[in-house]
Amino acid sequence: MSLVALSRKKSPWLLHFETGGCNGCAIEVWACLTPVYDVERFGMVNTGNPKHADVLIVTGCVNARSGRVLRNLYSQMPEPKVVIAVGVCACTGGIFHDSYNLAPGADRAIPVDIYIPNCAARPEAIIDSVLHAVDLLEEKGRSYDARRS
Amino acid sequence: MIGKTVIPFGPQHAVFPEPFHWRLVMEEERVLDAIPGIGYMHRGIEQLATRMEFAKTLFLAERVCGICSFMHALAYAESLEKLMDVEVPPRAKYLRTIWAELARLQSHLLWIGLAADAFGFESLFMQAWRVREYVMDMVEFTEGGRVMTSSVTIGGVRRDLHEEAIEFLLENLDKLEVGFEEVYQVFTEDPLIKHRTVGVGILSKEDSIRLGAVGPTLRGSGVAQDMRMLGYAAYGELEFQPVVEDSCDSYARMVVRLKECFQSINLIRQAIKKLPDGDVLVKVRGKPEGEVVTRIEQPRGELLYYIKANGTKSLERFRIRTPTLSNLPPLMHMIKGACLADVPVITLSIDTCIACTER
Amino acid sequence: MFEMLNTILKNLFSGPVTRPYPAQRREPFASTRGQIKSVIENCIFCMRCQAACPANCIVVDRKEQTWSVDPYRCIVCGMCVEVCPTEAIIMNRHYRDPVKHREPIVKHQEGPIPKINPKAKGIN
Ligand code: SF4
Ligand code: SF4
Ligand code: SF4
Repeated sequence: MSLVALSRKKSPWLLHFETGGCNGCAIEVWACLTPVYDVERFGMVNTGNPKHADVLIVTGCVNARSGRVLRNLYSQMPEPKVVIAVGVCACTGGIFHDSYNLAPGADRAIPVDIYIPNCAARPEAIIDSVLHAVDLLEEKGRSYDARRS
Repeated sequence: MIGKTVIPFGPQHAVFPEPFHWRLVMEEERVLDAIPGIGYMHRGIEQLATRMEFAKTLFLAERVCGICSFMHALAYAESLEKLMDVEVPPRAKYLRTIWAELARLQSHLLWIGLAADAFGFESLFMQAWRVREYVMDMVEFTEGGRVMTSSVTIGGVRRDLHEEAIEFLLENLDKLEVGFEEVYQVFTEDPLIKHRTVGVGILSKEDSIRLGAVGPTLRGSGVAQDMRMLGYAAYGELEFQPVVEDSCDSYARMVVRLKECFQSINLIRQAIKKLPDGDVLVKVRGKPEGEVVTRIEQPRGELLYYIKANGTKSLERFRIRTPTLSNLPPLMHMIKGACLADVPVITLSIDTCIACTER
Repeated sequence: MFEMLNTILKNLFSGPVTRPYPAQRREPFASTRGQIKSVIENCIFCMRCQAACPANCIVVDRKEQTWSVDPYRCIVCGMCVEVCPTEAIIMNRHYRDPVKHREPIVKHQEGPIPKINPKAKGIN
């Protein structure tokens, strides 16, 4: 395994973007970064810069305006990248699904790899999915390396 | 002489969990003008409510904001109870008070953590959120969910507190108090925090009234206004005084929130002691009709609900005025003339919640 | 100075507060709302759950005898559990697991619709 592939697996960086739900899932993502749930145990660091990030965590439902920012952030992230949709808002729109200005789900704006249901998503489920994202990242990294060489 | 520059601040910024956008008109290091840009989180809740059945709108109201979801559900239930002339059983009123104070505690602790993070005080941020988990445990144990509690309903509450839950509450309140005491001491004594907050973002008493500030922002400027004094839920029967500070700066607003945490712990203890027996839910029949205005003290200030119903199954008009919206004019007033480095601290000092503002 | 020493010593000798989550799972509290499960044998297809769901995620088809829910739209409010007259929906304490592809859950009932008196549970 090359050094790059190893570090991808050992230390994925997270970028969190709240697209416009109720904040409930956003604070649960923050709770995961703090002592009691602490995803930093797995070498993950929360970053504010899309160019450094490997995993994009989307919380909340996507409207026209935040969809633009979301696509922008997604396109700035380097390959390989994994997107996690947290909460039913990001999966399908949840209770807001027939509102006039919302896209039903973040997957209308960007490709989503992992969906976490529940409103609000529990921190345990978020930890599960970021661990899952690490495997996915490794898999995607392998096919990306193969494509490049 | 350097001309004016416009600096965009946000929408994705490391200090705020929410997308919030400022366009700052700068001259050298001074902010001349600040133009807020909003609309990233709009979900059309008010319009959605006019298409949903009024009983389901409760869950929609709860999802206006994830930090004070309980308060929104409470405000909605109180308004419809007023419209439909429902008398809530006393036990339900006390349970509502206990849960409302738990919601206030978790919101204030969340803010304390974010504020510490904005000062660059990482370990304090972690401490505050560690203490907050005691509150989250209490919320989950008694209400069934960590964030979305869905425990209030029109006519009462959906769950009761049994013996075991009350013991759990009392035990965790003690742990919380010990943990919070440490955080409180650091916050009030640490010279670095004082350096970042004392004298920053001055809002005089006259200005705060003129610009319509609410909640801790208003109380930090020496005005004793607290909607809980109106005596909704069981607040009329409990003893407390609004927390007031009169140094009018970010430090005062911070101290108000810190002291309110102790006040909330005290209120929960009082409510548990006085908790009456009896039912927690009355059956509600019929459809709402008429207009009503409800005012509730949210962690961030006064929350105002205006509901107009016309006897059909959906509401005719549903209007929410959230505390952050009222606090934006004072915020814009405070930011003018501040240094660029102080902008995050001042913005945080009113405890912005964009999710409710944009609904 | 001494205060600092105090804090340092305390932190050295107190255990970590972190819950070692995937290695050791904490039992959820008894009242936690996790996910809804259908006990399709009890269902009498009265459509009350469909009418009560705020997220409109339950679809009941009396003719086909199917009951389906979109779990990725369900907000776990528990209304359907409350209104169901025959306890055909139950609330479970465990949260729903994250998935890669989201699909609705469809349950089909075999045989005739059971004759359960809704009044038995005291709800009418
Ligand atoms: S899924 Fe629920 S808790 Fe999460 S952002 Fe949406 S409404 Fe809020
Ligand atoms: S309320 Fe219960 S019995 Fe009626 S359709 Fe739904 S699951 Fe079936
Ligand atoms: S728990 Fe609530 S949202 Fe989920 S299916 Fe039942 S009624 Fe609908």
